[in-house]
Amino acid sequence: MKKLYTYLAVFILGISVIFVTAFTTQEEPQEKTNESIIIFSHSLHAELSDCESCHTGVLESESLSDRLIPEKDACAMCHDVEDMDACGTCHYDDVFEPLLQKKSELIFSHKFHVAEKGMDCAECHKDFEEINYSFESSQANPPMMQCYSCHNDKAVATNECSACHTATDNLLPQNHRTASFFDNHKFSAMAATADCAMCHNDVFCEDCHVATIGIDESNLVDNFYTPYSPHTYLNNTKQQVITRVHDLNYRFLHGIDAKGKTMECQTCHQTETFCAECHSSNHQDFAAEGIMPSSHLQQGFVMIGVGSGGGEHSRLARRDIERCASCHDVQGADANCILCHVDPDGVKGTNPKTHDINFMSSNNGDWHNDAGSVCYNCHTDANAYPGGNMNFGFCAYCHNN
Amino acid sequence: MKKILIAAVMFTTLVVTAQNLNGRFSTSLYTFERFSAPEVSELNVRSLSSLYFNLSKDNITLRSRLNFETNIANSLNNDPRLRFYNLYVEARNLLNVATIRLGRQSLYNGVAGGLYDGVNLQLRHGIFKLEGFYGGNVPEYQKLELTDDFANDFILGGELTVYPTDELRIAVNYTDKNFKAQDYDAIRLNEFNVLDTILIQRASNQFKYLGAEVSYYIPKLIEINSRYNYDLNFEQTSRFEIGTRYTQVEDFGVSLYYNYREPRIRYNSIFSVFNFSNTEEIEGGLDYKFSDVVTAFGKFANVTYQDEDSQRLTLGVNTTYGTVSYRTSFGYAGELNSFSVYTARSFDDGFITPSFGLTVSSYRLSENDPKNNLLALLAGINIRPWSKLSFDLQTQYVSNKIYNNDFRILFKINHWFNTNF
Repeated sequence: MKKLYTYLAVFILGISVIFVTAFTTQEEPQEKTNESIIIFSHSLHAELSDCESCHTGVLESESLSDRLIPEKDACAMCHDVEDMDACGTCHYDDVFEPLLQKKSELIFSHKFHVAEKGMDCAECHKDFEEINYSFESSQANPPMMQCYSCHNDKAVATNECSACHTATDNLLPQNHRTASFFDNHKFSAMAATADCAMCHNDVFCEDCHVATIGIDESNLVDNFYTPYSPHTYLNNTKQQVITRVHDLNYRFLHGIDAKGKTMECQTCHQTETFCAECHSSNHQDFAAEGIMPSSHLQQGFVMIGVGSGGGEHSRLARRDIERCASCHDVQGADANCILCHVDPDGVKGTNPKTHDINFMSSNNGDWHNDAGSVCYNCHTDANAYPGGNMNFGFCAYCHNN
Repeated sequence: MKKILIAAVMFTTLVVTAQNLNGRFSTSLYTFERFSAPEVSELNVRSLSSLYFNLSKDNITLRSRLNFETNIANSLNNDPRLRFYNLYVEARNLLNVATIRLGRQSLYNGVAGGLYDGVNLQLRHGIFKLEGFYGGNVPEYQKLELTDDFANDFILGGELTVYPTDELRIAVNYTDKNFKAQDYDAIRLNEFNVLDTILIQRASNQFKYLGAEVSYYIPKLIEINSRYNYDLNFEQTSRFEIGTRYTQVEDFGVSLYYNYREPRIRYNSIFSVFNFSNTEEIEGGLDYKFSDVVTAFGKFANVTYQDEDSQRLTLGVNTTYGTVSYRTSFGYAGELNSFSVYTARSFDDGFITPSFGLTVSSYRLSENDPKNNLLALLAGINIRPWSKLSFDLQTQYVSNKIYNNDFRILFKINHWFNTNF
């Protein structure tokens, strides 16, 4: 009981931290702009000079915290700032505040992009020849998609989040927070306007979509596997969780998701090789005990005899045969269904029912020419082989009416 | 030897001529205990290192991703292990139309996924996109080997996509994935009615699907996505799903999802001969954005089997600095009540990021099983003194019916690099 209260206290503390943090994070209020501080027109000045003549620090600036707003000295290059009668050209009466510059959480060097790489200001800052104040621009600062045109890991520039973002813990886009995002992301990724690659590379997708396909390994005494997460976060909690795809205790809960079809396990896991590793571990590991579903231990799980209906196991198999296959379809051995579902005498109706009468009777299937056909797992009478006598046993089921 | 020489020559050529090298290297130590009997355990210290890098010249890139893992204490079977997840050459925009990838790469596809060793060709022209892929399945543990049976152990397929407008996408696809089962010996009666040991050599188990997808999206109104798969082997519908999301009311989203699904059983599998049924699922969800920081969501699903039902309900709040969620399941799938909380926040321009996570669950796999409790607790910190280098330390505490008190530590170093030659 004491333990429960401790967990509860920690849980409530965690929730409190999130909510206090979230609700005390003030959204930016309607910002004051330079329109109320100075009289200025970018369009007028664009005809008279280039950007760096006024924004003099830009060619040397390596940080967005540098002040790049023009200083009075820059204005003095053209304006007579000593003429007291001309103050009203730029200044409102009694307003002599410093101009405002927005704070940025990005890492960016104007020196590198403009001075060294020769990029033009107008490539990123649009419409300045048509507006007065920067906030009136349709694109005062470039959208991330424009950065991605170079920062794409294909050439020249890296796509690492932390190359440009000071922190990555709060970059989750709004559309990722919705109720249906998980179900719909496979479609969103295929859309004509998809921009997943701005933040995610193949490595991120592979965390879930490759996982353990083709791997037959488990978390047993002599074999430990853990997914890892080398995606493009540097200081995100995801970077720290070593089993990122599933919760640390997922081995105990996965049966609920598998039965409930919450996820498509086969998206990542090849069931014949993955599930059987634990579910047929022959108690190699103390931790692997109890892996047989409790239903298998109940009375009446298997009922023997023609007409008995087979008991609970046949109901479960008809309901969800994927569950049977996940443990019993073991590569390299006959599935244990054929311990009972076997037809050794070739006589109809004397063995547990496997499929309906006349099952595939109109097909010219692979049992006619392939001794490895799955049919011969169960139909084992002496005449059950390709080219057998059509009047006896297995062949006679269809050929001798 | 010949292959290695060819690869070495190609790699050296790329390195010498490359304009850019970028990638990430991370290495970590992970401690955990492994119990061999009650009260008998051994401490394991496992090292996991991963590297991916891209070497580019103009529109050609060599992409790689590999992982090396081994135990430092108490060696495990198959240690050390080196996995190759990606190793392929990509040539983009050839003739302004084609992109080709050759080597070990990922496949993201409606009916199949994973890695394959082969070729992928994409052609784009106007509103059309045509993709084709072929390759061998990757050997277990992602070894740097090719399958020795391309005829029976392969994936083949393609997709034609049309984008009549930015809002509409129509696609048709075909996927044929084959797995060669291992040969094995079995006791059978021979034609003389005598028990005999024979070698069973079964043909490949197959998934062979035709598919179609239609997606339509009107911003700030509605999004509709649908998918249909037809199983060519069993000659029946394998899956149909449709999901809609309605967003006309500002900050409010309503979603509805329906899924009809036949079990995914491979052709030639023993299970393919039994009588089995399908499942249907319907899920409804709501989400509301209270502010740029806080979004609340909830969804409820019902899954119908031939003679049973199961339900699940999820409620949660996503914030800029973490997530709180509650999930419950009931019905045939089992009973589950699970609370999760997860938070992280960076300070001092990303220099330090503490994180915390907790999941408390109570579950019962079926009505005949006893109830069990689970706890997973994570507390970590990331220090990033430089943009390109960071250090993680995380402690993990796990409690379950097998390990009542399992305490683990993860230490990790992350480094990314980008060099123009």
